[in-house]
Amino acid sequence: MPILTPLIMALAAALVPGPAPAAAPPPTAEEIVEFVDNRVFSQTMSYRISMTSYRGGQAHRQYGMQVYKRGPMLRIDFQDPAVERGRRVLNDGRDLWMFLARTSRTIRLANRQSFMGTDASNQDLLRISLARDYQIDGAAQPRTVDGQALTLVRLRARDPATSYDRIDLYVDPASKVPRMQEFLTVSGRAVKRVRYDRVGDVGGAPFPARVTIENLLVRGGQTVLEYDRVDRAPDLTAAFFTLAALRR
Amino acid sequence: MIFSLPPIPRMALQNLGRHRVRSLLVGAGVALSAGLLFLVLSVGEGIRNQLVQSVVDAESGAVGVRFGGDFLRSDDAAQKAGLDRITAHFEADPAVTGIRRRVSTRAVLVANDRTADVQLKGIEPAAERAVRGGMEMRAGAFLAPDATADVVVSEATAKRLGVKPGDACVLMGQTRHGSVNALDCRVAGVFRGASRFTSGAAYAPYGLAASLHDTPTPTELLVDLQSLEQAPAVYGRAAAALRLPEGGPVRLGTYRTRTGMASSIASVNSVSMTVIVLCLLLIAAVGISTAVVNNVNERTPELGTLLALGFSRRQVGGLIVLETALLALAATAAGLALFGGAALLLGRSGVDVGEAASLAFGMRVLRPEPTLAALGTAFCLGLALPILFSLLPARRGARMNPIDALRTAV
Repeated sequence: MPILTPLIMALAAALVPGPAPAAAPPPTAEEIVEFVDNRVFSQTMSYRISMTSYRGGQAHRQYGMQVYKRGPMLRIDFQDPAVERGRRVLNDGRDLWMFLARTSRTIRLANRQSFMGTDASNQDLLRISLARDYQIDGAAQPRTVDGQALTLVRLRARDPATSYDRIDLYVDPASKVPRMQEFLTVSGRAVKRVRYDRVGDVGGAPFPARVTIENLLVRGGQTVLEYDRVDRAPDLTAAFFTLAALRR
Repeated sequence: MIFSLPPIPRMALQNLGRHRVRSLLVGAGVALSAGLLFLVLSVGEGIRNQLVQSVVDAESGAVGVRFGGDFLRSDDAAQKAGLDRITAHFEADPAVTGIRRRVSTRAVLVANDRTADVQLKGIEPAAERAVRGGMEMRAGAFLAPDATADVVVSEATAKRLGVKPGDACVLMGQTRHGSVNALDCRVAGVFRGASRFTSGAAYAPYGLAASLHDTPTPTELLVDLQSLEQAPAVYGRAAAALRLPEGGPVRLGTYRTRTGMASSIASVNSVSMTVIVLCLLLIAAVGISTAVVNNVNERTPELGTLLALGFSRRQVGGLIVLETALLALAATAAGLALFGGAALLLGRSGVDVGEAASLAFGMRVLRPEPTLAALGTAFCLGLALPILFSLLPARRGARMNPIDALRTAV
């Protein structure tokens, strides 16, 4: 009967499962780097860092800092300990500068120098984006690290003067959230490892609340950065990221 | 033979033997002071030469060429062309006995979870015999000609890292562009340097240092000559031929620009020691002056007699001064012979002053180097100062009234 055929067809369509929807393709290396640069660490944001440097399991140095980021510029204002209050560091997009409040002097910093005697280098804390300093070297690859399935993106420095010749970036394959970075020298030896933990949602995007920097050559040497008061839409002007503002 | 001499010299010689003990004591003071002065000047000369030579061997060469960052970061072909041109010039210079290639860079050695800053010198062991000869291996061995991943460190570095020969370590440094680099290596030996200028150094094969620094060319050339005195002339010829721009990325210099500190340390030590010994010589001279005063007082009747017999005051004063001069001459000669011999012996064996004192001297083993200038200086001062200090008492003795002098005798 003509009315039955469409009814049976509709019933069949409801009861018989159709073909499975196509699985989302894994993210490409470019997508991963773009996500890390612009979503995890926004173009404009501010946050507070509590930095603790450990030697032989003992806390060696501790600093509290307020960080401001706007496009290619980044500024760090020291808040703790009291003796460091007034010290400021600036990446104005070209060079790194430090303002010393006690002497009112401004000095230029080298990228590879240790940041305040910790395992982090100046570039580690003041880097603006991975894509600016590094180019992708090959396709993203699956890797298992400590029993965890991750995706590896290999990056190579664009400029031979960049502190680390290569970075191996490990991200969660589903969320693209960074889990680990390893910094390799020209010879291919890994000398530093950064782990990202306690990733939570901040302003609609993931953000690690804790970052651990390990010195792979000197055991027991590590620096822990704990982030809080993250604001992805702070009101910051370009003038705030100038040497003049640094000295004020 | 003595009786054939004129009266004043004859009397002077005879008088020396009259108070033998006093003459001996006074003479010993002069001998000791003059001899010590000669030894100190010789030690100072030795320190200066050894420190300078140590720097020339370990750091600078007699003439050195250093390639700066801009040169090293330039195009590889341009670098090679520049290097070939400079090397060819020196190879053609007849005064040049050898050219050593080096890659020198600051590095960090990491071992046992400890770090030590070192001045890394990548060398070709076969060409660096002078470096090898200037160091005492405390453990292990120096770099073998075919070594690739070995490193030789100072005692201070080995102690800081807690390493011994055979231990693995990591060498960290920067490439010529400024990027971090790290290479595995092995401690081959531990040395004690000849001077403080080598205690912060670590030596590695040229290839290892070049890999660390990621450079196809050396960072410096050390040019060795037949003698250091030829350095200014060789430098002049190179400067004229190569026409390297002033303040440019390639710098040419003699050892003098790198040994300034070594020479300063040597000079300070030399001056300090010389001042001390000069004070001793002055004290000895004052002693002579006292002895001459006593001598004049004791011989008042004799001097009065001489004046009464017609000797002039000048002759009488001259007699006293001549006695002092003869004593000083004999004492100085004896002192110089004794200490000169000691200086020659110590110059061969050397004197180990120990680690603590080496900080002041700049080196641990001191080898005096006697020179004619030092000999002449010590001789002249050993003779002149006693004579000078005897003039006043001699003048007093010569100006006495002979009648008063003879009355005293009666």
